[in-house]
Amino acid sequence: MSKIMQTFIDIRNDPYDWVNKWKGDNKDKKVVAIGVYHFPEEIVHAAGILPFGLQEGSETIVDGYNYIYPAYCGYTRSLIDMGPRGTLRVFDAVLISDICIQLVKADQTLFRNFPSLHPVLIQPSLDLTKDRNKPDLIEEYKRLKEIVEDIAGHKIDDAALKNSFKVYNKNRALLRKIHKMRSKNPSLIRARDMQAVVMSAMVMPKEENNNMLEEFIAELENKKTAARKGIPVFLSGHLCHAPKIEILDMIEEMGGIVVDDDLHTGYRYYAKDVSLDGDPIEALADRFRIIDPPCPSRIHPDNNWDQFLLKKAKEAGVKGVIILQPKFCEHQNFAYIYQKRTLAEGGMDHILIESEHEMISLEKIRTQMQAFVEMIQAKMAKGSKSKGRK
Amino acid sequence: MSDNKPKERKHNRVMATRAVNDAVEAYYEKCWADAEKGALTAWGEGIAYFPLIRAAGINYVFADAMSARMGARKFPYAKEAAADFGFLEETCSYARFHIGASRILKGDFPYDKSWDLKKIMAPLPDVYFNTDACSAGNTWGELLRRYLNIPVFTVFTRRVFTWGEIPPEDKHVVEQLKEMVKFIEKMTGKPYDWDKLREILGILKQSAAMRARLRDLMKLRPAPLTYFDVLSTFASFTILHGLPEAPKLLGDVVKECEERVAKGISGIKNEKYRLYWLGAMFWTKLGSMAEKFAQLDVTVVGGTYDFMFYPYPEEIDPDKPLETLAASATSCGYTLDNDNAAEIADFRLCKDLNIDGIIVYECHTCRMQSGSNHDRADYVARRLGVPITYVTGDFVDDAFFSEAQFDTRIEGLLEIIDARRRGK
Repeated sequence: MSKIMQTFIDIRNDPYDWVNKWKGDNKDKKVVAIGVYHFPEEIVHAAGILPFGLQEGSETIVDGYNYIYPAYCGYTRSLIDMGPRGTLRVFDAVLISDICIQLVKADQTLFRNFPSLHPVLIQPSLDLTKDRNKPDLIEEYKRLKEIVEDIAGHKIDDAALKNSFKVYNKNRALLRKIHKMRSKNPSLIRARDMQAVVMSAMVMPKEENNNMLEEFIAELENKKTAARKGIPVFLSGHLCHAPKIEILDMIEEMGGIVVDDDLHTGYRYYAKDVSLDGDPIEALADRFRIIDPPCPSRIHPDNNWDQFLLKKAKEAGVKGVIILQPKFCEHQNFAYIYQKRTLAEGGMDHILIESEHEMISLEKIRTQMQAFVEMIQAKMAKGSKSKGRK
Repeated sequence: MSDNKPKERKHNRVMATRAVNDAVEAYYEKCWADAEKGALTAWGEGIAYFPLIRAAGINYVFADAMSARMGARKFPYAKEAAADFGFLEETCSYARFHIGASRILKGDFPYDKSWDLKKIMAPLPDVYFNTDACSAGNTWGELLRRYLNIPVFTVFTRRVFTWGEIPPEDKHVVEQLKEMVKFIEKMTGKPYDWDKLREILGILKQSAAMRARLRDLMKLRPAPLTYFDVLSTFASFTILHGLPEAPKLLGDVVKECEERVAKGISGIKNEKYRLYWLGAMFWTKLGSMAEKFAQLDVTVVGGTYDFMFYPYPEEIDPDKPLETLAASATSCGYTLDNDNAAEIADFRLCKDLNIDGIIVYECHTCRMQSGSNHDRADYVARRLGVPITYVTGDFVDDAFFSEAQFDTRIEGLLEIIDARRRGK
């Protein structure tokens, strides 16, 4: 295992330990926790502050239940639990974008009970069909910029923003390259390691991460691999936090070969660049309005995740789609209604695997995966076209 | 609590509340009859803006209320239709039941034809309105847009808390309501009837005055009615919201309660405890819960729904209709931060109700309602010095309600109250 990969893995295994060490080594610098998904973190970077993408904690929720009831997704429960645990004390603020009522309530709970964490909610307008959507987004991003300037203690100018866009666009390009390399040769990198790569990008200073990714790509280009036997699959879901690596391992153990994905710790993080032309805040608003990949948090008639999923799965040449559904994620469940039928009509087999913060039984997932793989293998052996599961 | 049925009913139901059910049934029948004649039907999430829809002559059906009705009537097929569609149990039960119903109405899912659908659900809509109070509402609307091939109009309402202050979100919403009026004009092909809107707000104001009177009566000891009686009138400020029959129905309830006060008749046989219900409600068990509490000598004297859907007449100004509608949405318990919500929604009620304790109802599938409840209960309990208990249930899905847990938690709360009384 290379030193770079080990660094990525160490960050993935305990990102909060990493950031505490970083803060210890960088006492004069500020770090702000951000809810990564749909968040214009370039604004934070432009202020010279480290944006740390909040990751689901690994601890069992305990004190968090004094503040929230159990039927919230693992990510938001974990986030709230971090309040009494003190995990978030290292940050100068906690900034979250409203993409879901559970994130809103998590922010509200921290705001009320742990105001010293400086939790702030930004609320981008989610209805992309309205003429006012872009002006509303610009207004909200300008408000965010003022909040970040307040944290930083200085103004952020357009030049700094555009520089951040360049750095981030480079980061995304490097991650996309690794994504494509993985698609061409899935033996290059396991699913859990891909997650570590992406998570490191969400957490580390971007410039440093860019350097590491370039070195990592060079390693991959020279890596000798043996083809793995199994069923090529597409991983979908987990919109705003990482799936458990135990589930990723189980998928591969049971014969799934991950060829492509639209995960939070995957394609979703690096799909969209920001334009370097024109007004930078407007460019961020334009980026938000791009429906690639589709996201059920936004409103637009073209925002059809099911169609995107089928198209991507076919382009990737996979034999099946594995939908990773975090328990209590309503956005994703609503999207599943059409995913189910579109995949079936498109002749693409799929399975839905539900995950939880505290995973009670991996054996259930083992059985599901085993059955799924066997079903596909049987179809392949018969040479029959998949009718898909309705 | 004993498993044996009580020998004597102790909940003294306000009989005038029964007329509300007849009025709701009549409204659903009207929706069906009007639809057959080509009138527009709108479904929607959220109450705040529907006077705007109703004033245009469109029959508005509040989605939550339709689901609550199916739950209360124990109609089983909507839930099955939703599960068959791909919904997981953890998803909002209002949405599941509602979308399940749309499948049944569309003919995509079977049901026992002995059920008269016209009595429990509205006809399929021509349009859907989404007030964005909850993110699930957005996905709900989008799903129906696609499944039913109907237009959807969303009013985006920010959650208006920043550093403890309430910024002026109303103006932002008013601008969107103006767009909504244009959208409605396009749908109906007619100029918007502003006079009708003012008239509807006038009716709402009358309804609100009746509700205010009921809240005043609830302060009496013993109370002449219970929160469950209020909830039995709920449809008058949801489905029947702004219709002329609504204030009359509420007026009859007020009259009966005032007569009870004159005669010394209370809402339950022996009021020993007064509790506040913070959170949603389990609509399938309204009647049995009313009796359950009465058997324990508990009057539930108020709750979250007392504050919802235009409860204060002084906040309704028919001459400023869009501002009134916007304020209703931006100042409701779910768009304010937790402490502000607790102050204006819960504490404002509780401080005059002489409550002994708070029940927090954690509605399993509603993250919007349940997410703030811990903080809101804490806010009120600290100021009033009362204990809290938590019970889990749902809006309409029986799978998430445990009678035994409910009984244990309520009885435990009463024991705490007794102990505190002994200690004084």
